[in-house]
Amino acid sequence: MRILFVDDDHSNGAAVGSLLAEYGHEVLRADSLELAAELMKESGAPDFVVFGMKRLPAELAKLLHVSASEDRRRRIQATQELPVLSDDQVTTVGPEAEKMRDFRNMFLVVQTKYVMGLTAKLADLRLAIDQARTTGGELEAVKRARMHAHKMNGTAGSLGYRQISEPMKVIETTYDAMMADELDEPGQKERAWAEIELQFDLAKQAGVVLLKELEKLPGPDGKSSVYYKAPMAKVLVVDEDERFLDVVEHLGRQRMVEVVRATSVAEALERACLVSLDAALLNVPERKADESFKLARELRGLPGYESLPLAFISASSHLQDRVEAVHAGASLYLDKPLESQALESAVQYLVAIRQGGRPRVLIIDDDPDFCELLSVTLRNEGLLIRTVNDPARVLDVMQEFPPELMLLDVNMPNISGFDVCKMVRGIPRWQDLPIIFLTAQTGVQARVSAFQAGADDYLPKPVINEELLARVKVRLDRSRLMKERSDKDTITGLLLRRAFAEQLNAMLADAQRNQLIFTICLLDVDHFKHVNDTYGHLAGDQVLTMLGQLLMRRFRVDDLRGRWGGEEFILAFRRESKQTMQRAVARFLDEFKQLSFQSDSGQEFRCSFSGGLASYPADGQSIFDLIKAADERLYYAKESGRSRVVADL
Amino acid sequence: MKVVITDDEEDIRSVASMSLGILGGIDVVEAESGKDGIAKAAAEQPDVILLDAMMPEMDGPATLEALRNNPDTASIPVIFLTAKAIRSEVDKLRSMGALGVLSKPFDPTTLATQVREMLEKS
Repeated sequence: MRILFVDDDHSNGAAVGSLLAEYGHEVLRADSLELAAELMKESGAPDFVVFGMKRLPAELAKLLHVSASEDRRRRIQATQELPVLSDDQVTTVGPEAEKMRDFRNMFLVVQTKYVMGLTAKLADLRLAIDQARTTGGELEAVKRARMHAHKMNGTAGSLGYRQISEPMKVIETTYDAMMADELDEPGQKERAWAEIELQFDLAKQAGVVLLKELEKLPGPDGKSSVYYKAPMAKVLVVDEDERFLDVVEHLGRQRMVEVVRATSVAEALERACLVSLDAALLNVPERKADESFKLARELRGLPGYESLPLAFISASSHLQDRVEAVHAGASLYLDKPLESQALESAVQYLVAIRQGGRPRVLIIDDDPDFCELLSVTLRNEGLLIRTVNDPARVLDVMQEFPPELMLLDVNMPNISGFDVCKMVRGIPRWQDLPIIFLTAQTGVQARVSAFQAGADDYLPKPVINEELLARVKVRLDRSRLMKERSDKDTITGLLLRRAFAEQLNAMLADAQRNQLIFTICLLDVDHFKHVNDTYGHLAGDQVLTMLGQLLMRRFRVDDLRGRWGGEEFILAFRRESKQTMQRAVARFLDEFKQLSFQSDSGQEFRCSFSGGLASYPADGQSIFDLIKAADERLYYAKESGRSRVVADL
Repeated sequence: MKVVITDDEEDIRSVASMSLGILGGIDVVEAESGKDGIAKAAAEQPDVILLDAMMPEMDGPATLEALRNNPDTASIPVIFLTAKAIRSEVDKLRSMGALGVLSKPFDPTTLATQVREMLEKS
């Protein structure tokens, strides 16, 4: 879309202009009406005019009237502040868009923090103004008050809060005039003091409004409170070297990643219990590597940290370490010295794994503003949101952003929400997707049509935030529960065959696309029939449960683990060769063999398993061929004495 | 590229760090006072120093003077950040030997570009 942006404030014009350009619009910027008129003459009428000056002057209205069609005139909007910086309208991909998204998230954090501290800042300013006044304009007191206003002007303005920065600017310049003794005419000084009061009140009112907006975001207990889920990731970094921690902490601050420091194993475990972590980076010293691997296992053993993403940092890179690292669950293996770029992408990667667990919601509505409004509300609840304004793009977007819930507008141009719903329901993968309709029509007929089209629920517009959240959450919880039930095995907690196959297919597609390798492994508990017959079925279940739990806590969070059926398990390891994995799984086998189980009658026993590996693409191009190859090797492992892992025949 | 940003206001430092760091790919070192700024500039040897003109105790111009008198920092370019971006004020700051003057409030989406442009022009 071609947008004409008229604003006499250059910094605002530049900010909004670049933001709109980021969204893929062609932006014409003008700082005066004359220039606006010229631009329109030169390049024709724009699709949309955004007007940033305080009032819409008559001349401009006239100008637009001549140059814009009826339809376009209706879309003229006045804006006085920076738009809410948020994602999802960013349709571009690549590092630039990525950066912009990061920036926006962090910008939101700073904005929120600023608003939360605003009351205190205004109170300080109030005190300073009073002191300046009661001392009768004593220079030092005036200077102090001016400094407060000056700071708030700069900061609030840069954060997009012009409703605060503008009054502060006036206060500052008024004090300037006072200090320069320019106010010597009778009554001028009095008017200056009154002006300051007026501007202070304006800022204070604006502050109250901002705080109220913040309070509207529901708190963790569902009650309204000043609460904000900061998208700031907490990453534990363990290293004996304080200087290294300083460097990482510094890098972290620039990326708005909170670095939780620990210099010893004990401290690391203690910090992990106190702080809710999103990821951990562990240094692996050459001489004490075992200690680090042990720490990794202990971290993953803590309640709630079974799937904590891990990365190891090391100055040495022996194969043995690599095997151990994969076994202990390191998703990444970083070389020391650490480049700032490497740390950044590592943290991003690890946090993305963790956030993969956040529910994804797709909003389809042709009104971008409405989408924006819903996005903000839902995003503050920790949901990942994608919006689509053009219903024709729905299926494409669903491919790359598979949603767990869909909010769908009924009335859209060309294709109605009902049609979209029917279309989506026609695809087997999306038959269970919860779909909630949004519509201004509230009649019985509209509701019946919605349910007939396959909707799960129905929300009237205008949407009330509380109702939206309640319905979305209930639907998400229920569908997650259902999915959990249908995807996961109750005894081991691992993926069931069908769900595993789906995810393995995705891994194969990813590997094909990006020319990566991966390795699968079939495991079979040795003499399981004998275990059941000798020690009882409860003991047999116990073996499977323990094996399942140990599999969850070993290997990397983004590896796949499934129960293939009976006493057979299947694993898939990203980006790893079977040579590495043979040693890692063998290491796991040693660990499993140490576990002791109790028979139904109290007798102690131990177990082992056999395994067969196959790698993509060396052992096969399809899932079928890979499993066949792994199965042959598993058979060979059994034949040649069990309790071993075979990678080649 | 490395920048030392000197401002007593933490929020401004955060926004500037974010815009320079994330959007601009610039290494940022924060300093919370003129004194801190001088020490960090001497230690970090940045490509440019962003300096808030108005700070308590040691203000921007005083800091600039101290930077110029220190052989370790004398040649590092300085860009002022000021809320008073009026002609006379800008000229005054420039005449003190500043490379440029950026107005506050600044636009966080283009701060890095503005800084780079100023450096390239010089």
